[in-house]
Amino acid sequence: MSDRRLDLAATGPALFIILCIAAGLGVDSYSQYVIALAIVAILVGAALVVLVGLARCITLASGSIMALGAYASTLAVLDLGAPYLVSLLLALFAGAAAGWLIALPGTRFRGHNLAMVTLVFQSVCIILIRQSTWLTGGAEGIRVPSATVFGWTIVSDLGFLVLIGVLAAAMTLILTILLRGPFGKCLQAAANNEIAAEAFGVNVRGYLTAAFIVSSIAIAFAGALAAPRIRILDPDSFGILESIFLLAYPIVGGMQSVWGGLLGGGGLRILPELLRPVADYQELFYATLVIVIVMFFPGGLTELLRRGAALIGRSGRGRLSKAIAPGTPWSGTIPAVALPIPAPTPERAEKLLLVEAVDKHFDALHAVDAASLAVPVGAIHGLIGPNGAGKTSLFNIISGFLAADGGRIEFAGEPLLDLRARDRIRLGITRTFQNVAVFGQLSCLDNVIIGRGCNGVVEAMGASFDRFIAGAPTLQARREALAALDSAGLADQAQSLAGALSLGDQRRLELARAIVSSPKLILLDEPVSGVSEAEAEELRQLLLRINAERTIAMLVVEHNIPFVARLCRTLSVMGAGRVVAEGKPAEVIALPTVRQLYFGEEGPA
Amino acid sequence: MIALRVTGLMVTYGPVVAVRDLDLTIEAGEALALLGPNGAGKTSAVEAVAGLLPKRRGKVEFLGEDISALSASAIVRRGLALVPQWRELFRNFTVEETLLAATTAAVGREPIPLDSIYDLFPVLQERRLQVAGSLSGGEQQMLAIGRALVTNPKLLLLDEPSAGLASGIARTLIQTITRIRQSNVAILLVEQNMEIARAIGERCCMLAAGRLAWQGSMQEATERNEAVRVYFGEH
Repeated sequence: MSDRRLDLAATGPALFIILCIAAGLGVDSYSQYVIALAIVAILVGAALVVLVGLARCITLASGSIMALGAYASTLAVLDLGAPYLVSLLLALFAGAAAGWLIALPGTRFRGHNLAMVTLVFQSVCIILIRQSTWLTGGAEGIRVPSATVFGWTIVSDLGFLVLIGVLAAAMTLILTILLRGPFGKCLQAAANNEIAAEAFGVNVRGYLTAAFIVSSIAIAFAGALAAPRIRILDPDSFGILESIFLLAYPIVGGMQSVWGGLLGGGGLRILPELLRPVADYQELFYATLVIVIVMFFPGGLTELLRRGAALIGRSGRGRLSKAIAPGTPWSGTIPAVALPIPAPTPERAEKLLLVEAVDKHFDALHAVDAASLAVPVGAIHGLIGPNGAGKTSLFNIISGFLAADGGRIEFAGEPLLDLRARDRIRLGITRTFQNVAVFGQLSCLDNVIIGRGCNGVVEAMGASFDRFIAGAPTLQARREALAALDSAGLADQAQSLAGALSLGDQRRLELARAIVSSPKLILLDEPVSGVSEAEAEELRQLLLRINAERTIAMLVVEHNIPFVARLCRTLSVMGAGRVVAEGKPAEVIALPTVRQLYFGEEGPA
Repeated sequence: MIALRVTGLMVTYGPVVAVRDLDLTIEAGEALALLGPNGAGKTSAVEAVAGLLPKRRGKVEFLGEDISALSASAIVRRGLALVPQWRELFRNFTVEETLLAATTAAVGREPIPLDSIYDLFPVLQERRLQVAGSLSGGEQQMLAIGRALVTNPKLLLLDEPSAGLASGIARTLIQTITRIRQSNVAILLVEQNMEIARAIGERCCMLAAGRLAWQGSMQEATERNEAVRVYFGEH
């Protein structure tokens, strides 16, 4: 499929809703009512895919947010005399405010703690609605006036179906565009690996907050759409049970695309109608469905359909798409011998990274003790030392994931210590990770595009719409990312899912992601841990080539000393928090102090 | 009699291969030192043998029985006890509760009486009613060893007993392990501190990047300076 067609595929879910409207034109009014409510559920499902699926934040507050939207729009019509369409805007604001409020504490927690936070929000909201009798009518509820749009007062179920359908389709389109564009990719990256995301300029809390706000806006909007058709609003129909039921939408449907919310929301809303003959066992059926899906189809109904389609496709016309097949082992071409590299002499070379007397304490432990080192422009410098020597602490201080207690770090003449980790990429520092930290659910290409570091929340939202409308603005990013993938020998894997690559290829992908922003320095955190000797040698050649071709300096922390000695031109050795030796690898390794560090009290065995 | 035979062991974390094709054997009552630089896969190997990590491939036999598929609790009941790196004590248990809890793992054989443990570590008797979390690092290490010994094991896996302890601890550890060996317990010792490794190990295996890089007698390793070659890649 061409890129342009991929971009336009974002209209799919919205078109599906329009089809639902069309299908509802010829049926009786009760069916129209059911379809209209199913469309509302589809919108809620799509909204929850953003939050529960992509951002991986559990929420038990959806019921209360629907209530907020419904009450906000209804009260705007009743008390302020606002037209229905204007009252919908108020619902959007109510949703945004609710999302932001939940995100304030919510982005600090995960799992059951987050469930508790959202549960508290849910309960407080419903209690407030019930207690504010003067405003909301309390537990008895409030009558919702008929919706009037451009002078047309809607009373028939057909009218509601068209109104709800068109507006829900519009909102679903917006969600789909956001989800499929850079915003969705960065959000997935943030949820996938917080540290790796921050290292490449993704503001994780910012993205999670945005996810709460975006999904809450859509859920509140859904509530406001449903309100005039429900006719009576009362707080108890938006209780905790409703929230749990809503949470099942993305779980049953599938968490990775809007289609999941669509199948889960629409399906679960229609199901009671189909189960009418066995209404007494409805809950039992629901529970079984959820358990079966969670156990056997963790990807939800979308996965089920995809597997079904793959089966049919295979018997029909073979594999549908080769592009998304899991990665085949890399077999590109790299020069058999490393290019001759002009080694800059440390004395004359300009200092790029300057670490001076950096200190770090963990309680009584002096993890880093007045450590100093320097990395010249274009150098490859190694940092070695036994377990607990303080290498990782110093590495994390340089990369910005640990605050130093004292000392100074300069990078290209600028002080580094006060800069947040995610801002260091802008100065030209990137990194790789000891436990490979590729964003497994994204393609290699998307991984590298995120590596460019242009990942502001608002920019990404804008870019998502730009890409849908024009397709063009991301071309530059694509070209650069493909070039970086090519440098790392992964050109033919651009569309493969990163998580499906072999470890060696994941390490290459990390390198592609680290070089795409043309940094001045890459921090390599144990680049060959867990890879075979042959792969380690390939990686070494690749690192030397990147260093030579792009003049990128490298600081390498690695336990595999034979590897470091062959890769680096200079080494620093740490022991008990101090830098105890420095110099050329062969000389440093031969020092008695270094051997003593590694082998304990006495000399080596 | 062979206490432990490991054949073709492979341990992975997702795509990361920590141990590849590892073969090793320990005779009954023998002390084997497992050496190698950080990240070589020593702890992964030992934890896989003890059943704490899933084995991707390979076979582990203990006293002639295939224990590859057994759970960690079943393995310790058969007499293979691990003293894990960083001790992993139950912080809210007192010293005595810790030891008593461990005696339940001695199934089909007599547990070692607590008095013998206190005899080996007099300081534990003094601290017997203190919770494990309040002990010093050295005392915690003694308790961790005591907890494993009380199960009356045939094979003791010691994963870096000196890690994180004051430098003077080496001599004490050597004395302790030497005394344990008098009761004919086989020992697999993972250790970075060469002084301890040489004092305890009769044979040694060296791992590098997950593979067995060298094995032989400790004396030969010392004479040929094998550790330097394995750690630093010299010839």
